[in-house]
Amino acid sequence: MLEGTDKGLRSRIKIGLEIHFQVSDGKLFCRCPTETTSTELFRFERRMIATASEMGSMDRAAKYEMERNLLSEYVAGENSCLVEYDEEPPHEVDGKALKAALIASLALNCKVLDNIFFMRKVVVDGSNTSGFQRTAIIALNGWVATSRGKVRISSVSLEEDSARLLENGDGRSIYSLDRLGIPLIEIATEPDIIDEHHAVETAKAIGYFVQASGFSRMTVDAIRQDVNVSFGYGRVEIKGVQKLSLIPEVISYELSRQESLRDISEKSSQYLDFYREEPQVHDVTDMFRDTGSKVLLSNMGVGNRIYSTILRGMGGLMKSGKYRMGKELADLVRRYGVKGLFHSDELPGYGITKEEIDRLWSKTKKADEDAVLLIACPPSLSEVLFMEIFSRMAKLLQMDLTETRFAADDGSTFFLRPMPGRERMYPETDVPILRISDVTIHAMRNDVPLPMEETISMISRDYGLSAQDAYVIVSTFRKVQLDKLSSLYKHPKIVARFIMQTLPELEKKYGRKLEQPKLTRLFAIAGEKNWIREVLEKAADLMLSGGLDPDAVAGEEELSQLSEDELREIIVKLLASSESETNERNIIARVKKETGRPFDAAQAMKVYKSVSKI
Amino acid sequence: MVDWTDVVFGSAIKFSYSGMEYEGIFIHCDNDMVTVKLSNGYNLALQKDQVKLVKIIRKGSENGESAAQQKSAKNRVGSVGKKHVSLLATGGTIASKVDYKTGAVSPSEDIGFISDRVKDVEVSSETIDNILSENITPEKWIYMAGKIRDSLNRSDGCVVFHGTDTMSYSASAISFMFSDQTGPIVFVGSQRSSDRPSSDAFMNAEGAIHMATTDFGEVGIAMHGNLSDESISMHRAVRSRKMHTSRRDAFRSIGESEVGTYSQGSVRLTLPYRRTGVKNDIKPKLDPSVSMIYFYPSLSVEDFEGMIAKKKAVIIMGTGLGHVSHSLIPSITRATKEGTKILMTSQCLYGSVNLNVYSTGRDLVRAGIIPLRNMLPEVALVKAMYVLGNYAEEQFEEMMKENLRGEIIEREQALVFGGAD
Repeated sequence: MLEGTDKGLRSRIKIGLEIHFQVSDGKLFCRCPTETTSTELFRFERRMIATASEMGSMDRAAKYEMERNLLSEYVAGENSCLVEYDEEPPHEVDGKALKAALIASLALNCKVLDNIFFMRKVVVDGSNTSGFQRTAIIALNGWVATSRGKVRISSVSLEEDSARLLENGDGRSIYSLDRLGIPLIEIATEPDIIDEHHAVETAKAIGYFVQASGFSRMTVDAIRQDVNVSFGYGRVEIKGVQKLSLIPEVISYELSRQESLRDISEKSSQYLDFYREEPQVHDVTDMFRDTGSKVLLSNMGVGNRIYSTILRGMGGLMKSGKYRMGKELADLVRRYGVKGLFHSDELPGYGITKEEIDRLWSKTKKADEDAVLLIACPPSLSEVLFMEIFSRMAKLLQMDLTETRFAADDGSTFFLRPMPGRERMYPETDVPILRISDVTIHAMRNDVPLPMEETISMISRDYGLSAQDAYVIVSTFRKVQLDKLSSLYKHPKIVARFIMQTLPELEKKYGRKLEQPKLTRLFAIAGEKNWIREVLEKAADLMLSGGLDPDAVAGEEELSQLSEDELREIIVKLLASSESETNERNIIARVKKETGRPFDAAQAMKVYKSVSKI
Repeated sequence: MVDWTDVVFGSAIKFSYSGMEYEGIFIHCDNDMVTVKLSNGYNLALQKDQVKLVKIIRKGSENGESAAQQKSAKNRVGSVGKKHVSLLATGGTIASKVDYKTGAVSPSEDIGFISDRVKDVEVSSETIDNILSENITPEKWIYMAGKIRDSLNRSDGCVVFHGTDTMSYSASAISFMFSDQTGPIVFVGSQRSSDRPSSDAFMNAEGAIHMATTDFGEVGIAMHGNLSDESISMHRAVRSRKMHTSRRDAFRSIGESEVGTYSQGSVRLTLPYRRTGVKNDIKPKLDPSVSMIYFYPSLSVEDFEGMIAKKKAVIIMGTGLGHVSHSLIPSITRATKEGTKILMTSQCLYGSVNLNVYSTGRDLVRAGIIPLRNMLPEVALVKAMYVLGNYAEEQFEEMMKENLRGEIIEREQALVFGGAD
């Protein structure tokens, strides 16, 4: 349970999820493959311009992004073509991706729409070369069963994935095009989720159906979830939650953040009018000509100026105890590429002296209850930046906490952009409306995965796995992998143990991942050569420790299994040197110590028994 | 009982579908489909018989255009020191907007929003036509030439917003009609409509407007130079060609390099060019009695004769150095004897025709064909219209062979075609 200090806020929790699954078999609007090598072919640059939507107004998220007016640089590799470069209109919707989305919709008890209507969702941060993401609702109004009741599904959508951010800074973002255009199935729930544990369960239940249909891509970032959470102060959309296990942490972080903001809001409520009108901003560059602060000096060195403003009633609320208004503002200015932000709760400090701040306090007429903000930025940016700061302060102090945030790997979140409105969408005129016939839907009914419990008992029965192992396989989305590898190497129990236990351990040990094609090839070889488990495990060890290909490893001397004669030789030697200490319980470990090569443990035991009898 | 026919675009409505009630904005309704926008921005196109209108929450405005869209291009008043460029809109993608009712892209009356980003040049704009450029005609070129002359008379340069499909034809026609001009005439288009954040319209317009402040006394075409939003290339109209269906850098100078480039606020003109003159002198006549024939194996005598009948001039796009099948030569001989002018260009686009190398070529010369060296076929077409319209018949061949506006490259250099580096 969450350690919320405030029962009131906790009790108003509403959680919804948006889960994105990459579809594995080719891009959505061109025939480029999903997978690629890391070869770079060339680069190009674009600047995005936000334009009005069909409703005639400009979306605030898009406007916000445009004000940052970043240059985007794109790295084109082998799995991109003119469509990804926004140099050619989209081709037809990929049939396999559409089928995957339809099957997911049926599995989640949704009403599939008769007409699929692609929209352009304007995103001008550069993550799409076109400046928009193509997206269509496939189905509406379904549900998924959980142990705590049905969770309603609002919609199932099919959209194109964005470009992958490689670097960000200095007014320039660099993106790779390898991910751009990969089909994504987005499943959104209603805010029916009761708490964070229920959120995890719901995500798994939804994930099961998509994964079980066999279309889901199986790489690290192939499944991403956004968490929508509200504690009564507006919906916060938290993007980029990479792992299910992070959901509780993210929600807990957001709860304490909102509690803290509510306290700040109460403490400073009498000053709210101040932020509604814009406070005065002073250029104080001259006061810091001789400063010892490295951040300020380097800013002045590149022609930036230093500005300050007073924040009435915010003294002690910027950064002390649980109060963190400073971070709320720092998150905002960082999005504009501004690095120099200081506030009075942390001054003197960072090379800024007591004398310097005393002069600053008197210049800004700071009272005890006030805070002062000091920002170094390009003069051309200052007006927009302070406007954004004051409007964000006013919004937060009024407890309108609606916004889009991003989850860091540690479960904390940071401000990403204002919540997009419907102005962000307009029709994709290059893709004709797709009619989905009843016949199509009917034909797909057969491909809808069985419910989770049935799949678990089926795996358990067909592969001879324990119910527990079968559950883990299914709930961690590994059934497709198990099916595939077991078809190559006909020992499903060994395959299950390998993908659940051996492989994760080896990957952790060597700090690298075994790519899917290599894994598949490894099991193909294992099947051909009829390897025992020990040889398979040794091969995987060699591949991960040396970064080798399966075919290279297969020929290694170290991989050849000990023959019965070789085993006998080792065991005889062992008994000769220390017969009294060798017994049935430790013989296998002792043989292991003697050789780096794999051997059949059962065979070793048999040899031991026969040798020790003599 | 409310009915779909009572709802106007932009109205907030409540409707039911598949057992659920939804709120949304009404977009469009036809015989069997209703289009509504949900609060999350998605449009749904629902079968009319499956969706029920529950109520109209708030009536929308009929035209659906907001103040932002209705803002007309305000002519900024001239201030001291800034150059003044006049913009003429003729339609095309660059001046297009999405029609949200039909979902189609169509030309717009208002181009001010595209030029708003250029702060260091005064601009004024006028919409003189509103077509997709495949619908252009010689009459429209004549009208356009007059409008361009008028705007050059009151500004330093003129930018013509034009669809890219036939932009080389139009720009070449204007080029021939202006024997002297007081300012640059720069055609500009775009390959991505301006509703898209990635549109090339804004940067192309910015480049074209800056090109129009120079002393380039010719007609040019300004478009992206490569896939990046970093530089705009200007091509001499009579050597330009659209060489790609969809890329931003679709336009190429054929047989010579681009005349100049625009990047980060400044223009560099790198090829020799005619300087601006003291008056705007146009010959506003074009004779459309010209046809163009792309020769292909199996082209029949009957078809060929059908395409040259009643024409005063015919541009042939021959193979290689300028050849057509021997079977057509008697028809050519007969037509030229009757006074039809038949001119030869090449399908190769790069390089000159030469009728002295092979016997077919020599036979074609004897048949009365006029070779046009390395003139581009489309340029030859509009030039023939211009020459027929403004000069006596005896002058035709001489004028066609004379290099009037740079349409003929006197010395072809190796690197332009590539392969020599």
